[in-house]
Amino acid sequence: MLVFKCPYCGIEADETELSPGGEAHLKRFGPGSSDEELEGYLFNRENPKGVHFERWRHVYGCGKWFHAARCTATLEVFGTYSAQTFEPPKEIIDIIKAKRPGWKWRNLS
Amino acid sequence: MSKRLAEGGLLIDRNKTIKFEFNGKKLSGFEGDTLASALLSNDQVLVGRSFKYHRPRGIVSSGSEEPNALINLGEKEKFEPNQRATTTELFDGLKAASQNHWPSLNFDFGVINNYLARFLPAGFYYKMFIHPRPFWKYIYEPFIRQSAGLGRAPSQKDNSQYEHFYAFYDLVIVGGGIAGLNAALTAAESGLKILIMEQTPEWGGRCLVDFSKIGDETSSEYVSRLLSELRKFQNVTMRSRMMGAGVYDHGYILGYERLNDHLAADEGPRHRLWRIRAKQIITATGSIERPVSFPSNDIPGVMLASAVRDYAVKFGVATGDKIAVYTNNDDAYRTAITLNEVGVEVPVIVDARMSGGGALAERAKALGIRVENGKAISKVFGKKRVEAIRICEHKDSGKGNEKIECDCIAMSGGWSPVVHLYSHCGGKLKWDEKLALFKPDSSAKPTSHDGLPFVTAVGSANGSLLMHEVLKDAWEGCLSVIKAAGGKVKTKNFKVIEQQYENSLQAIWIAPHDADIKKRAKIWLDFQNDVKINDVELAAREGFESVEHAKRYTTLGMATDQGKLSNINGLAILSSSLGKDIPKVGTTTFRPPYTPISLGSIGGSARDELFQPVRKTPMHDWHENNGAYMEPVGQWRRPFCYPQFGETYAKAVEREINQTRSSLGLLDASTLGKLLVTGPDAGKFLDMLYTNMMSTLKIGKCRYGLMCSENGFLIDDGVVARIDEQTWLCHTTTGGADSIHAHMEEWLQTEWWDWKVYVANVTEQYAQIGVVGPNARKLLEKIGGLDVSREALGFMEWKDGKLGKYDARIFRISFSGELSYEIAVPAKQGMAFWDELIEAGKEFQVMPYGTEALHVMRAEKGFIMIGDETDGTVIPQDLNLNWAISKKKDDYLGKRAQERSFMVNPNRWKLVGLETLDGSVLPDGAYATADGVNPNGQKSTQGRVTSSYFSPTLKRGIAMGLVMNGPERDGEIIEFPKIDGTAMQAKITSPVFYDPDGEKQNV
Amino acid sequence: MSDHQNERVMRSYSGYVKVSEKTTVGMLTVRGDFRSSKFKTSFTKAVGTKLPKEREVILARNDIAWMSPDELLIFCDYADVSNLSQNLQMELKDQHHMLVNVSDARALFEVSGSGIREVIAKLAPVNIATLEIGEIRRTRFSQIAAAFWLTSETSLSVICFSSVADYMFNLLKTSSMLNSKVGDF
Repeated sequence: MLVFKCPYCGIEADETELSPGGEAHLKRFGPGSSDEELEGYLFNRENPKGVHFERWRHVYGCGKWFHAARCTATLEVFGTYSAQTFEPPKEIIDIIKAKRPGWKWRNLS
Repeated sequence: MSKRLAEGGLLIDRNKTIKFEFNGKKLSGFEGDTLASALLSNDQVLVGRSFKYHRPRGIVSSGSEEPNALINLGEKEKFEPNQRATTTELFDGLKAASQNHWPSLNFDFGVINNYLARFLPAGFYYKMFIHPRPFWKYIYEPFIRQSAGLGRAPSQKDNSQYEHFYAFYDLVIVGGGIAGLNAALTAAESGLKILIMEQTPEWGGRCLVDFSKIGDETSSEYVSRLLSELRKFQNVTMRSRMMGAGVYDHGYILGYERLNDHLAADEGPRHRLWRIRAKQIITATGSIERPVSFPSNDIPGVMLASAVRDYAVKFGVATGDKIAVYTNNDDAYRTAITLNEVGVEVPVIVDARMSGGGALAERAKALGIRVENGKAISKVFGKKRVEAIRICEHKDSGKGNEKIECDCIAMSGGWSPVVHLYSHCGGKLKWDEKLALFKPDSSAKPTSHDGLPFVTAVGSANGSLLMHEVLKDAWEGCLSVIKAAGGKVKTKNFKVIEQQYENSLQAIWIAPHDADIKKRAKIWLDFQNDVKINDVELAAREGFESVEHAKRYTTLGMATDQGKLSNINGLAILSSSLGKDIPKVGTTTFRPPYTPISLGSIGGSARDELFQPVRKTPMHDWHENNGAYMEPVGQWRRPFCYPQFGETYAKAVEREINQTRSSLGLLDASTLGKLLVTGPDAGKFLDMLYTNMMSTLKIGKCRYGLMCSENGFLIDDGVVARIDEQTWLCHTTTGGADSIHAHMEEWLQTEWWDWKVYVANVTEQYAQIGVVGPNARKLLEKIGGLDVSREALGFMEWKDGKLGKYDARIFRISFSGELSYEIAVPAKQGMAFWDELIEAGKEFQVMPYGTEALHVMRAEKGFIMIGDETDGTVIPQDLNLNWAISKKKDDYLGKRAQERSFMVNPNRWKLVGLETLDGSVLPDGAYATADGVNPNGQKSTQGRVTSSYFSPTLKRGIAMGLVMNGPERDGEIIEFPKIDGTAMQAKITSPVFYDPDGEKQNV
Repeated sequence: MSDHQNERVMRSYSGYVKVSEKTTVGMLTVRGDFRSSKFKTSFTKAVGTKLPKEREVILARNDIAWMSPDELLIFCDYADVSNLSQNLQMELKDQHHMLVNVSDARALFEVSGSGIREVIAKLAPVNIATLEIGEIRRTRFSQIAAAFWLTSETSLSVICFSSVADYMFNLLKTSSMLNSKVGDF
C-alpha cells in the first residue's frame, strides 16, 4: 500500500486513491513509423528490479496524471513530478544517482 | 485433576459467577476467565481432536499461539468456527463446542487414522491420490473434501456490524507488556502522536505472572504506575483487545480491534479494522515459549510451562494435582516455584542440562522440589490424559525405568521472539546461537518510502529475554525510533533494574538425545496437523531441502496457528537431517495476519446496501415501483424489461418491442456517457480520438463515431453533437462514460498537454429519455413548445429549447431504426418529464422498454454493440465500419496499429448476419466449425456468434457473428455444434435484418 | 455552506453526528488557466472574489472550492447558476476556459456535531486530524469518489455524484450510528 505525493494538489495520496498507468516517458509512434518502432511503443517495456519511472493518476483526487520514480524492489520513492515532461527532472536523477550508484534505465544513467 | 484453587487469580472476580456451556454441558467460571481457564477449572482438559489422526487434544498454551483448543463458538447468526479458547473471554451464556470429531469428543471414529498412522506418512496425499488420474475428480477429491476441515461452516448470515477506521500516527507500538509500555512512555514525552495496542484485555504482558517485584514496586504497582503516567498524555492513544495484524509497505499497519467478543450482546460494531499509517512502528510483541520434543508430548495434560504458570497466577487454576516440569532453561523453574507457592505438588523438575539452572533452581531446591539434571522424559503414560512419566538420561536412547506419577507436564524448550510483524514487510532475521532463537537483525530492518527503516523490535521480541535486558532494549530502541519519527528525545537517564542471574539455555531439539525411530514417530512437532519428527526427516530424505517445500510437503506450520509453536522445532530437525546449520536453512515466510481476523472486519461496512455502490438514474424509483426487472450495467441498475401480469421476461420484451415498433416506446437512456469537450483545439483533439472526422461536423448536427485504442481495437462508440464553434458533446456507451473520460484526460495531460482543450463528464447532469416509435413526433408535438417536424429537426440533428416546461436538448438519433428522439433535460427535471411523457403518451399506448428490447431492436437493424460485437480484439474494419473511418486524416489513435499485417489479413473474421435454417435461436457465443483440426488437435473454427436473439418483429431467431471472409460468403450455410453434440445450421446474410433502407426512421 | 435561499433538506439522520442532504444547491464548474493574471482579473470581476489558493475553499455567500490546478467549483443558489455563468462567460469570452452547470450532477450533504472528523476517518484514507477548516480534500468515501471540507470544527460538507447519493447517505448514516464512536479524536 504505497503513498505518493501528488505534485499537482500536494496531497499525500494513498494507493487506493490512485490508479497506475505503467511505464513513463514512452514516445508515441503513429502512422509512418516502422514495425520495430511500433512494436517498441506498444509492447516493449522496461522491467527493472530497482529504479523505475512510472505514470500514476490521482483518480480519487484532482484527477491529474503524474510521474513517480520508485524502486520496484524496496518500494522506495525517489520523487514524484509533472507528467508534462519528456524525461525525469535533474533533481530526481541526482537523488537516484546518490542513492543507487550505477543505476541505468533505458538511456538514462 | 485440573481445578480452581481455593484462592488467587489476578484477573478473575470470584464474586461474579459466569455460566456457560461446553458441548451442551452446563459449566460455570468467573468474570475475567478465558474460556480455556474456565474449562480447566472444570477439569475439562480434553478439548478437541487433531486434524489428521484425530488424536485427543488438550489445551497447551494460554494465548494466541494455541494450536489445539479450537472451538465452534456461538450459535446461528453468531456462530463462528475455529475460535481459540485461550483468547476467548468468558461471558454469560457463552456456548462452545469442540471440533473435528464424530460422533463425540470422547469417542471419535476418525481416530482410526491414528492406527493407520504408519500408512499415512508425510506427503501421503500427494503419493496416494495421483494415480489413476481419472480417480481424482470422482473419488479422491470428494473423499478428501469430506474428511478435511476443522470447524463447521456457518449456516446463517452474520448479523454483526463491522467497520474500518483510517488513522495516522507518528509512532505505533504493538504490544502492551513492559517493553511496549516503557517505549510508549519514553516516546510520549517527545510529543509524538502515538498509538499503543495490546491484543489481550490487560496491560502488562508477562511481567505480572513472572515477577513479583520490579525494582522497589510489585509488578502490579509497576504496571499501574506506567498506565496512569501514560494516560496523562493527550498525544497517546491506548487500545486493548486490539491486535497488530499485519505490517505493509510505506508504514501501513492493520490493527484488529475486538469490541464486543467479550460481551453477551453486541453494542455497536463487533470488530473494527484500523487501517493505520505510521511513520515508525515498534513491535514489542514479546516471545512465545517452545514445546520440548519428547515421546508422546501431544497427550492432553502436556502444556507450556508459562501457560501452567499463567493459569495459576492469573486465574487461580491448577492444571493438575501433580505437575512435572520439563525444561532446558531457567525460566520454567518459575512455574515450579509458583506451583509450590500455591500448594500444587511438583513431583520433579526434569532439566535437560547437566549443569542445571542458576539462582531460580537453587530456590526451587530450597523449597524441597526434586530436581533432576541431565535428564529427559522418555515416555508418557496415559491416552486422553497424562497419568505418569518415565525419565532417563538425556544423552541416551530412552532406557531407564523410573516412573513418576503426574497428571500434567509443564514443558519449556526455550523462547521464540514474536518476529511476525517485524518480518511481514521484509525485516531480516539472524540466529542467536546462545539463546537458540531467531531475532530481528537490526542492520536489516524493513524500509519505508524514504528507504529508511520503519519497524523496530524491542524487548523479548528483539531477543532480549531477561527483564533487565527487556527494559534496556525498550529504552534504547525507542530513542532511535523517536528521532526517526521526527520527535525530540527528552534525555532522561535509564534506570537500571537488576535481575537474578540465570543460567543459559541448552538447545535440545529431540529428547532423549538418541531416541530411536519408534520414539521419533511419537514426538509431535505440530500438534494440530499431526506432524512428527519422523515426517520431517522423511521429507529431508526425499529431497525437500528448502524449508518452504518441506513445510508444504509435511504440512508443518500450515495449521490455523501457522506454526507459532512448531516452526523452530521443526526447522531444527530439518537442519540436522540435512546436515546444515539452522541459519542456512532459514525460516518460512511470515505472512499477515498474525492470527486469523474475521472476514467481517475485512469487509467493514461494505455489506447489504453498502456492499457496493448502486448508481441510480433520476427515474430509478419509478422503474422499481412499476415492476421493472432490473439488471446491473456496470454499477448502474437498468430495467431489463417491465413484465406485466405475471408475464415471462421474454414475453415482456416481445410486447415492448412490438409496441415500440408499432406505436411508441420510452427508454431511460440517462446512463449513456456524456462528455463535453471544449476549446480552440477541441476539433483537432476529437479527430485524433475518433476514427471519423469530427472537426468538420456542423453546429446543430450529430455524427456516429468510433474510438480505438492505440492497438487499433475498437473501444467505444456513440453519437457526437457539435454544440458551438469550440464545443462538442460526445456520447459514450454506459460503461464507457468514466473510462473514455479518463482516456481523454490521459491523452490531453500526458501527450498533447499544449493543446487547449477541456473535458467535463456531464453524464449525471442530465436525465435522457428515448422517445421511440412511429408516434414519437406526435407525442412531442402534443407536449409542445418545439418544432420537431422532419424539416425543423432532421435525422442526425439536435436542438435546444423549452419542450413543455422542460429545458430540453433534443437529439434526433435512432438506435432502433424507428422515428426516434433522445431528449436530455436537467436531472432534477427528469422524473417530472418522464411522468408527463407517460401521461401524454397514453393515447398512443406508450410503453417503457428495457435494455433487452433495446438490444433486440438494434440487432434487428444490424447495429453493433460494444462488448457484444467487440471483445478487445476487434477492429472497426472487422465490423464493416470502414465508412466511419476517415481516409482524409493523417493520424488518429489506432491508425498505425490497424496497418499491421495481422490487421490487414484478408482472412480476418468479419461481421455478418446469421439466420438459422429452422428459425431457432443460435446460442450466444457458439463457434462455427470448419474442416480439419488446429495445432492442438481441436476442430478448426471459422467464426462465432456475437449477438443472438429471438426477433419478435421477424418472428424468428436472428444473430450477428464474426465469420472468416464473412461478407463475401453471403448465402453460404455454416454449422454451429451445440454442447449436446448436435449442430445448428445457419445461413450467412446481411446483418441488417429489418428495414435495410432506413425508411422507418427517415420520416 | 452559507445560508442559500430555497435550500430544502431532503433527508437526514441523527446518530452521534447529524447528516442531512441539501438539494437545489447550484454548482458551477469553472476551468481555466489560473496562473494567467488575465484570467484572475476576469474571474474576480465576474465573481467578486479572488481565486482560491491550492486546496482552499473560500467560505462565503458563494463557497468557491479549488478542485484541481485548473478547476474550481462555485456553489450558489440553484437559480443563480445561469446568471453567474453568463457573467463569467462575458469576462472570459476571449480566453480558453470551460463553464459547466453541474448542479444536477452532484449531491451535497452536511455533517454536523462533535464527532465529524471521526466519521470521515471511518470512510476515507485521509489524515483527518490535520485537515484545516476551509481546506478541501478530494478522496474516496469507501467505494465512491467524494470531496469534503470542514466549514467549522463541528460541521462539514461532502459532495459526490448524484447517482450515488443514496449510497453516500447510507455510508454517512452507518458510520455515525450511536454505539460506534471510536473516541480517537
